[in-house]
Amino acid sequence: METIHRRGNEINKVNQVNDPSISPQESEATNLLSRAELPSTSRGTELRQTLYVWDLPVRITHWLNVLCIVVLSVTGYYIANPFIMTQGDATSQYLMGTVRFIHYVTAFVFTMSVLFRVYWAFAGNTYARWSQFLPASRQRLRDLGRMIRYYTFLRREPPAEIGHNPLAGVTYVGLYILFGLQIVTGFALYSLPYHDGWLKAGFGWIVVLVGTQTLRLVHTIIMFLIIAFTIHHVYSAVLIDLEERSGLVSSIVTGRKSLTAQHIAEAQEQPKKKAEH
Amino acid sequence: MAEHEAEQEHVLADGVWAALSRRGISRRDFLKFCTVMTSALALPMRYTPRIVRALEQAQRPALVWLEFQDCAGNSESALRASHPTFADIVLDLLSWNYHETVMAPSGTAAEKSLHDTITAEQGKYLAVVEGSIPLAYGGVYCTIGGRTAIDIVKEVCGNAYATIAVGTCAAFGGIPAAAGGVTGAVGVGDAVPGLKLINLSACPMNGANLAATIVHWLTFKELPATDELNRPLFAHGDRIHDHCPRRAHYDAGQFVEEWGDEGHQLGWCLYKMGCKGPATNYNCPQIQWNDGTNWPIGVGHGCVGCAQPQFWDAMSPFYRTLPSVPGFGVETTAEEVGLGVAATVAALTAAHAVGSAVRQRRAAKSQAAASNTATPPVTGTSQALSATASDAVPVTAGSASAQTNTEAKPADTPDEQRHDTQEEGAQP
Ligand code: SF4
Ligand code: SF4
Repeated sequence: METIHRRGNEINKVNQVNDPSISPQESEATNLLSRAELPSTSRGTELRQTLYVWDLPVRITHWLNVLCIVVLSVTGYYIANPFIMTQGDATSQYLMGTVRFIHYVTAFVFTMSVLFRVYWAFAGNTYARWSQFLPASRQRLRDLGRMIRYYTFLRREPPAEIGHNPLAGVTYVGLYILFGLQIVTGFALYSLPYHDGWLKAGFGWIVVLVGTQTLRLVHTIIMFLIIAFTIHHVYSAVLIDLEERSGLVSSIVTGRKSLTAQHIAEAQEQPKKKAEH
Repeated sequence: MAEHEAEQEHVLADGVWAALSRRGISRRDFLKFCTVMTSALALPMRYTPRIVRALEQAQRPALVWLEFQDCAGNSESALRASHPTFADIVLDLLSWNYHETVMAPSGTAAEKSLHDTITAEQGKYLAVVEGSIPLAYGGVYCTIGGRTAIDIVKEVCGNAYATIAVGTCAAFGGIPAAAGGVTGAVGVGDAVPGLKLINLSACPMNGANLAATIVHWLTFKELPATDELNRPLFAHGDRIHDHCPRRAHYDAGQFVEEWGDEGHQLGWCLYKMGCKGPATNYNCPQIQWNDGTNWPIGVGHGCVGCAQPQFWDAMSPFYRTLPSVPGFGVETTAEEVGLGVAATVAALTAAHAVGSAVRQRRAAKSQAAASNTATPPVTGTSQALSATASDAVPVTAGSASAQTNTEAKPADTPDEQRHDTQEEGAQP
């Protein structure tokens, strides 16, 4: 049974739900009018429903990744360009050693988090699954085009989605490819001092094939690409949240999105029905 | 005829110890040499007696030393020694039958001794190659006595017991193979695949490692164990960085930042000055140069990674930690490019935010103007973008506990047919 989360005035909701002949645009206009008088937190009179979208493993891996990326970027940058120096007797200092230790331990946590998230793409709920990332269906492909048009100002609204929009999904595939490259180059560099063992066996051949310096260069560049992604990621999350008022930003903490019934209907709607409008 | 052959046998395969005593090397010097070889091979000292015995009894194998696109630096390195006995012993380990730089005969006489060795000692002699082999235009960039380098290598190395490629040029192509080279230079292993090959790379290789490789062969009757690049593990098993006397400063976070600065005077780590010790496998810190006098990092200059394949290109710029980013000019660092990418994304993002705000405002206006005309359904609401993000958060966060949540249905099923063309056209 679905319990509907109600906000704003009752009549408007009933209208929206029961009487499709009334344009949603009208209630929209009412919103805009009422917004002028009401405090901003109580704006909005649409019918909203809260959906549990991001399950716990998705949120945990997301925040683990955030933490790891921050720690790995700071320590990694220090390893590439040691910007803090110590003074005095070398035997009583271990700054670079400590930074590298933190980098390596965090790298293992990050690797586990990424591997688990990839596994969860095949085991998690609908919105954690691989089909959210690879636009395999016609609807996802269509919405991919719509999202691109939205971003390039050729379309007014982003397509209605419950989970990831297809463009974001594709971006995350690219991001995880970067993660994979970062993990592989990182472990290859980590294997350098070893003569045998699993590190040497698993990653030593990459060092021979690519060369240490190229690995270091690629590893550094990818760090900056991930930072660039993060800038865009935070921006687009805020942007879409402002478009949808869905609590998208907080959903990665709570797992819940607040969506209008109309939004949900549209996200699930058949393109055919829409054409009749 | 039989007499002549016996004499030739004597010259080509004389005993090591016999040759040494003939030259007047003292027993003490011989034992010292054997001890140095034991440590060069990274063997425990209890192996020294075994090496002594083996060298006493060993017949001197014949050696031919070929030079192609080279600077004779490896010949220098093999023969150089401030202490003459060491060089004498190295020279007397083998019967050096052909070596253009140092041999007395020239012209046809020289070519004859090469030919004699190949035929008389087939499968038993050692071929040493110095310099890279040009393959472009059929190998015309390097010919000796009218024959191309690749032709000579095929014959001489193909008939040898084993080939030792000395120096990075012979091992991996080296400097003639660096960017801009036109001769199609390659190392021996690439020129003639399938040879029994030891790569003694480095620019130049250290003569002690050549001697140790030969001693290993004479003592254990086999070539030393090698890494993936055919380099002996005793010389290339460890990184410079893991044996560097400045390593404590690296771990402590104490780096030279300018030539001659305080850290440089205190002997700090050269990492920020572009030292490639972390990327280079070589026993430079242990063996050192000029009879163990010193080595590059010891005198305050970073390693340039001369023992690694393609070091001239791969380790450039020599005075920077990271390589330049391809396509961005030689002076552009990875950091500059990376920060540039991040800044570009940030700038595009900011521009997009402005664009989105304008779009929101326009849409709000047109909605207000035409609120009663039939327009297609609009997803979500048209809140002005200028509203803050925190504004949106309470929608779920504040009321999550008061709600009953439902798992949403999947939004799409792949097998459903969807037609969308009209809808797209109807967008405002
Ligand atoms: S000087 Fe070079 S090899 Fe030595 S510790 Fe520093 S980076 Fe490593
Ligand atoms: S320090 Fe490095 S570049 Fe210099 S000789 Fe040794 S291995 Fe070659």
